[in-house]
Amino acid sequence: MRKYVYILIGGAIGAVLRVVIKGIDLINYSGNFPINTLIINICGAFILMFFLTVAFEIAEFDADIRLGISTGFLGAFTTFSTLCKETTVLIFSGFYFSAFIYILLCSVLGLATAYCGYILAKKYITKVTK
Amino acid sequence: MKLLLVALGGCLGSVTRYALGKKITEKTMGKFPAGTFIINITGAILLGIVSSVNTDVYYYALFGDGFLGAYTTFSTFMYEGVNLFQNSEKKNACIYIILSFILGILGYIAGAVIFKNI
Repeated sequence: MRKYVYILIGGAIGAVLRVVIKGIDLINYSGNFPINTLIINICGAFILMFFLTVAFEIAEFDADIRLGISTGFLGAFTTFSTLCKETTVLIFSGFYFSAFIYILLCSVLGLATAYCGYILAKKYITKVTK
Repeated sequence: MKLLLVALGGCLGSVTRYALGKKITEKTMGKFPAGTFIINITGAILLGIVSSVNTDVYYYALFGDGFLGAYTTFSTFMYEGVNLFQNSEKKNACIYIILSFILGILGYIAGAVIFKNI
């Protein structure tokens, strides 16, 4: 039961933070490329991998809080549906190359930064458990 | 007010993703991350529907950015993708990632188009 409360709270904060960041107009940026969502998703992927790798290694980490941060906050902070909508809008607006680049960056950068999160987490764990 | 609706949607979306994901994973005991996959695709389809039903800012804040934004997830998608690669499930990893994007985008389009034709 407790875990649902944490997921609920994390979800609310994650969603709100996502919308706030998505609404920020980057200085001098007036393009149609959904760079805000890209930054949000990539950062979220990195943090999730780092956090879960560390949390699973530390035996005493509260499982409910872990769920609140990972499934709740980070799960809600990042989004897949918005990504699909933005790509569709780019395609139907004729920006085929931008759509292709967007998907490419999401997948390649997403995987790469998540993997970096894993590597850094492992380094952090060995440092902390010495 | 808009952010309050996003927060409310976010609560419901994340809890739904957790509960549904857990149920799907229990029923499909395989290496393929069916839970997140089904959630992300259905979320994309639903967002297509939501986006074409109404353009009201508050309505979209609750259902679009709030609920569906939290219901679907990119971070878990990547986490599972990397895990598949690390477990030498290269084929499953590529299928998972490519299929998610293709079905997600087609799903969104389908959702947006279907409603317009009713």
